[in-house]
Amino acid sequence: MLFNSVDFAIFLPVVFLLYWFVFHKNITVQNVLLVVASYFFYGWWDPRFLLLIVFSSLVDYSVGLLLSRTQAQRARNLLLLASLVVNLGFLGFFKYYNFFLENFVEAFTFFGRDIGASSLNIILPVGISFYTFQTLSYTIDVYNGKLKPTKNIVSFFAFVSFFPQLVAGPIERATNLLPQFYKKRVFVYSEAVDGMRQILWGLFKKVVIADNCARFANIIFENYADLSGSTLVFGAFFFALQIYGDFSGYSDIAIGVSRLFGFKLMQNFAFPYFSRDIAEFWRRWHISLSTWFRDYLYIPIGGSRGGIGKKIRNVFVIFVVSGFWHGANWTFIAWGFLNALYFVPIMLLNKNRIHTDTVAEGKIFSSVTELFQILVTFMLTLLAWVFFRAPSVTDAVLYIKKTFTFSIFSIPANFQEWLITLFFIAFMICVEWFQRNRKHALEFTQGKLPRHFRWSLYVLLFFSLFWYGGAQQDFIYFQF
Amino acid sequence: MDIRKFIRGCLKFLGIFLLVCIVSFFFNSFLLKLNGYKLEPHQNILILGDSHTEYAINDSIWKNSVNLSHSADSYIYSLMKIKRMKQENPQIDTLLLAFSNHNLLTEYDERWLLNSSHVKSKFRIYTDLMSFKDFKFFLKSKPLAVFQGILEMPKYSIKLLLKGGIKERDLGKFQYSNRNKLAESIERFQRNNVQRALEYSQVEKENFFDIVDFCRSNGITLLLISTPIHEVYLNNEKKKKEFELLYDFYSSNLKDVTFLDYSFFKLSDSDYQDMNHLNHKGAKKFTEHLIQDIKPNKIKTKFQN
Repeated sequence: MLFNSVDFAIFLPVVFLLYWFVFHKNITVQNVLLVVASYFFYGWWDPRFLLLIVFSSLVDYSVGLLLSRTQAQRARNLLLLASLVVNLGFLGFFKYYNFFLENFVEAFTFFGRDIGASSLNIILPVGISFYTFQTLSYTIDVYNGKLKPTKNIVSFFAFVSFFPQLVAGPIERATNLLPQFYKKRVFVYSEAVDGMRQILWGLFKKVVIADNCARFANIIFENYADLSGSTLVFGAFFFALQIYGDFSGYSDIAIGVSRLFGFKLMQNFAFPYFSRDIAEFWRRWHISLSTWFRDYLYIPIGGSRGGIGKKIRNVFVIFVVSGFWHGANWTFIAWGFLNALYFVPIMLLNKNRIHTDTVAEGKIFSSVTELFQILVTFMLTLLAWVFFRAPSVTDAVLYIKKTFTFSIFSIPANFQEWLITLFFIAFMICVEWFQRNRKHALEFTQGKLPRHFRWSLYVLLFFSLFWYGGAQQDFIYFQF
Repeated sequence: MDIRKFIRGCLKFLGIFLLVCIVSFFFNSFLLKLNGYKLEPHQNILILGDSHTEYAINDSIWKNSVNLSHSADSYIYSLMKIKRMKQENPQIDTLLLAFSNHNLLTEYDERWLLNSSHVKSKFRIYTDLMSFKDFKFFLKSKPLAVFQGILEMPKYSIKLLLKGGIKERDLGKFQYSNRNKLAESIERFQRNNVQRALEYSQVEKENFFDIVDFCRSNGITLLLISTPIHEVYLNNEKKKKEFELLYDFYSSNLKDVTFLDYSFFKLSDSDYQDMNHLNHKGAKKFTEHLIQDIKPNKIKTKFQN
């Protein structure tokens, strides 16, 4: 079920009313409702996928319990291994089987050996990368003694399948989300109202920004060979805004919906395009995944400890694995590799933590230097997004080559057609710039803005969804 | 208490939203009405239909005619238009109505009549022309598209206001096209041409006969017209079957109605924008010829048989 669909517009109020008015007296019953609602939400795509999530939940629940009863290190290692094999096995099979097979076949063919293997027609279960990482975090935390395993199977199943963040994150840690299923949730008016604002802003970013940008980005990337350099720059720009609007929009909706049910999820995006260097960008983009890799991969393999060689290796490992997490294609690996190349010099100069505050904190405008830094960082990300979006690495290289020709100085042929979308992008950037200290762009301090102004803004934003929304597109991150 | 306050707030927000929609719905109808549907007193010929007539008949060189054809207009919209136009313009005595191989096929129910994006966009334009029966039909068939159409009304009302009221473009008008994509359209046709189901839509047949009856009872001469079509299309076996079906339908149901069949009208390739639609050059040649044919007494001798 898509957040920007009529189905969800009916589903959400029904679950909300049942949750707070019918099943509010008992936490377990409330959790059962959440599990049923989440499975209904997920099964709406394809009920067969439910088997996977149920099996994965059962395995990790059992492994957690067994870990609590086992002291022998060897047995504990085996239990952790079992969870890793099952979860990563599913992920590997559904997401990467064909990729590895095709690459093996190509490699053998290159060396003159023809091996007769054919790829399978595998449907990728929606959001498998997200819930797999979420359940893994539980098992690893239990294994490391950071978390007590739960005996409450309903809470655990609700934690794994919690519908607002099930298919595209934020990838929650068990340490944050699971305990919230044990406690009685209280409806907090201010939280719910702010949640609604966050949902509205998320929908605006998805429907008005991302879906419109998608139209232009798709056409430009499909026909890049025949277009001018300036048009290709806009193509990359539209994709950058599409993926931001799409994914941060989804996260805002997910967090907003969770708040309606009394849950607090972690912030997943913190206005990343206002970053002054690539290290800051990665602290602000897809925070739940970056911190997941930091805690469960980067630090265990040594992090920033050790010699220069080891540090560089670790950075490349985390970025390349992160790229590969996004999809079974060399383009994602190239995207990760490029980001590692951006990051390594900053890390070696020990400047990767100089921008931990918000840009131009307490001021309206940034300094010229900060603006320059923001623009350079944005340009670097644009270049990387070309690899992310292009169908192959060769296409990405050709796209970039075609961009840097004299035609980059020409006026794009379709500029007029883009004007309305560019206007909305400018509007979004302005609102987010002035709200960059907040958790989301529509978070207002009570009484700071006149009520009529706020309500008019909400109604206009709501209408813009219907008036200027692009053709409905799937959320990009569903495929990951 | 908090949760009730929250729900009240949500309902209030939805209320404001719906209120804006309702006000826009009536305001939109008011604006459409305000501008009226009055034609010049000398304009007695009305041209209705889809993109075929929209691109083929240039009413600027045919002084006593008005072309209100609109792309993807089904007969239900033509029926609404003729009813209102006749009511406001009693001088209308002739209706030219697009009538070709595709108009009544069931396939077009989904592609045109009940296509969500068409219902949505046409709903706001034709609100004022719709009877309760039409409204009920669309609401029953495509409730979501109707709802989306209503949601878009405030935007449309603002546009209308900025333009100073409705222009004939909204109801339909002759489209001046200087495109020439004939080669591409032939290539596409040869690649994708499939045999459509040779069945006629019940709904569209009803609407079509309602137009015929309306013309009969209001003293309007109904002239069915098929505009020029490229020979590659006409010589295709699958299309031939569709035309045979059309001729059968015509001969068994519409003996007293004149059918101006210009499908085979000779034009050069440069007069087409694609296989089924003329560009401005073709439209000029065709309209000049049509004006001569429509002259009194000429129709019968030329087309009746």
